[in-house]
Amino acid sequence: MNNSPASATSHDRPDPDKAPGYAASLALVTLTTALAFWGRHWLTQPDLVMLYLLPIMGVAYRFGQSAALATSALSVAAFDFFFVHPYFTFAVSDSQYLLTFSILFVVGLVISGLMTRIRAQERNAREQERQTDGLYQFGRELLSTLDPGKVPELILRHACRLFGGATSLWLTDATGTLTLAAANPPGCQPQEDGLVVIRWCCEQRQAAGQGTPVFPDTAFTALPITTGRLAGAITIRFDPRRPPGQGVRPLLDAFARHASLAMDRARLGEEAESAAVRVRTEEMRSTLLSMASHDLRTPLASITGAGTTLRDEGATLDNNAHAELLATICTEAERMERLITNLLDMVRLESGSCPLRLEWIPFEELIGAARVRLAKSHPDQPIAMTIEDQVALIHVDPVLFEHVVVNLLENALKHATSAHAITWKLHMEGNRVVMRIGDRGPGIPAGMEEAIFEKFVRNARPGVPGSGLGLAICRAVIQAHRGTIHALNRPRGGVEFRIELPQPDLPADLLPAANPDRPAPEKLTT
Amino acid sequence: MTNTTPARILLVEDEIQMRRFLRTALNARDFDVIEASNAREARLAVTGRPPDLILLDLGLPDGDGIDFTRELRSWSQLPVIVLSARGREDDKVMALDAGADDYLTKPFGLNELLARIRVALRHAARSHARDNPETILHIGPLQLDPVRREVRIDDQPVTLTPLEYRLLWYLAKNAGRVLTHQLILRHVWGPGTSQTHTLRVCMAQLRHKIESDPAHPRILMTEMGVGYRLRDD
Repeated sequence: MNNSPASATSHDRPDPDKAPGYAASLALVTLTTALAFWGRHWLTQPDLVMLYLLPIMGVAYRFGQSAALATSALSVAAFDFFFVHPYFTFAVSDSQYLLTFSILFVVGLVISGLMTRIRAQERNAREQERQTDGLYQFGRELLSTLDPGKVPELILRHACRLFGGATSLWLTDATGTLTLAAANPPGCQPQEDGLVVIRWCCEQRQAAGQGTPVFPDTAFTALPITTGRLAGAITIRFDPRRPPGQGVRPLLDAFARHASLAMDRARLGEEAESAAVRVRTEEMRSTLLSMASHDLRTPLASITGAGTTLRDEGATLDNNAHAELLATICTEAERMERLITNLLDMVRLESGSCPLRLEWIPFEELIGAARVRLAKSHPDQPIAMTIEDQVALIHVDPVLFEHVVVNLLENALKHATSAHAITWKLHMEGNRVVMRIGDRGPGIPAGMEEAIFEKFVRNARPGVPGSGLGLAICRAVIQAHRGTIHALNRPRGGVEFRIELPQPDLPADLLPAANPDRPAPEKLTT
Repeated sequence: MTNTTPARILLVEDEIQMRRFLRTALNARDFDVIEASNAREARLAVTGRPPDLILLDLGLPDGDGIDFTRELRSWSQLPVIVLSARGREDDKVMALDAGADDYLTKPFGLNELLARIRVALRHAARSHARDNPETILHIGPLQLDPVRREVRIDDQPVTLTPLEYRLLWYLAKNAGRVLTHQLILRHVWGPGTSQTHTLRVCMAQLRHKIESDPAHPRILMTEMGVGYRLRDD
């Protein structure tokens, strides 16, 4: 069965291809005859017959069966003409020579048959080697492909290389709907009438179409592939000039198995990716929970303690103790509120459930609102700050960016050792607004410049309250604005935060305010 | 309040603990408190003998407080202060646009609540006296004379453009209340203007003329993501 493709090729070989074979057989027989003629006096007649087997063998090996048969016939004729009495005629005097001729002819026939088979096997071995090599390369490329989305395209490229013609890949989804995943060359997939073959192939998980017992009249072969619980099919429409032989089936099956494995691997890769995301989310959630249980319970413990003391021992406490316990309840409740607000903000930002609402807003309004908010929450810590804004309007989400301003100012207040001034400078660099916020606090320990933006990382002296979320919220908001925030220690003490935010062009109705100084009120009014 | 009868406050809240705290605190301040634990009871209380003010929780067991406010506004101008645990700006804007006079996010301190109640009651009283639009408004250091279109801050005259004046007048008439961006744009610029930044820029100019430090306002307050409020206390 294995050699049939080769024999098919030799039978189908058109006449012009045979001409060299016949020419060679004529030349070789002539040469042998000349050699035999020259040595006829000291060679016996059986030796001469043996000599003629050489050209038959050679031609059979090199040019195939028909040329070998021609060589046998020519050899018989030449032997008869030159070496059988009467010489130089085809007449035969002794009938025993007829037996010699027959044997010579039969031997030629057998040799040529054997030779042809050897040749076919050799060609077959070469073809198989090419296919094995093709499969191997296919496997290797699949392994080195990191992007699961590229796998279908890769499968088809190799199918084209191995089998020629046009290929396409079809997949069924969970509902059983058949969809085209890829086609090579693009657009050359089977049309509507071919779908029934592909569907049968997917459902039965068996090859169908050309070269199979099912739908043998189809113009293509459909090979089943499976990935997880889902099925798919590869279709191959062979090049009409290179029709598939019987021997191509094992190769097709091997290819389909490879493709299935590749699709499986791609799917598992994607699943592993989403599993990794889930693990990260889980980690975040568990950190959040452990931190929430600690940081929320601490103020709650103070409140419960103070509350029960007042309820149970209120009568025996003096006014001072009363006032102190009440103050504890209020302060701790406020602390808890801030914490909960921060936690909710963080969760909201991380879940991506708050789309940005970008608006043009005077920076002054942002900082003003933030300072009012801080004056309320830190009534005993007045903020001494200087603002150098060369940019009047910035394009941000006002609500979210107010959090950034409040958190950065709060951070500066928390770490400032005395009433050192906070500076907030704004300027444009190209189409980015750059903000530099400086304080004169104790600075950041070396190596912590990036870590302070992580969740639940605190760089506070003992006794300084904080959730470890303020700067993480700042970074999350700024990243949502596609901006950056960094911190570095200032040469003369303190920290400088640097924020960069991309800015669009000012809309036409705001253009008069675009001059770098404060908005000129008279010019702005309509 | 100058009148001697205590103001009646309808407290619509389903949380018993919250009601207890508010009742105790408001009684201590000589307010008369009627309680309702759901929207149905609130409707009954309002149609019977209308209170002077409603404190309304948004999350009621039998309906949304916003719907209740909208319904109430179709026939009454009773001041409504919304109390809600929903702290998102969208919820505030929705409640205010539905007709609420003010919005307090839980948790809040008693002082803050009392200040808002005072403002709402004063505003309601002022609306009743709307017949006289020529009254000069005195709010903190601010003085507005509607007849002469004159504005003084700490007795110093300030020159405003007509637009700035209209903006300030609208805020002053509603002193102490949060006015949403859309509400201000509709009243000052008229229908058709919806660009919030137009309002923001005008507000910035107004602050430069009125505030001593525009980057730390004490009169024209920003409620970020919601609107503006002219401080009145």
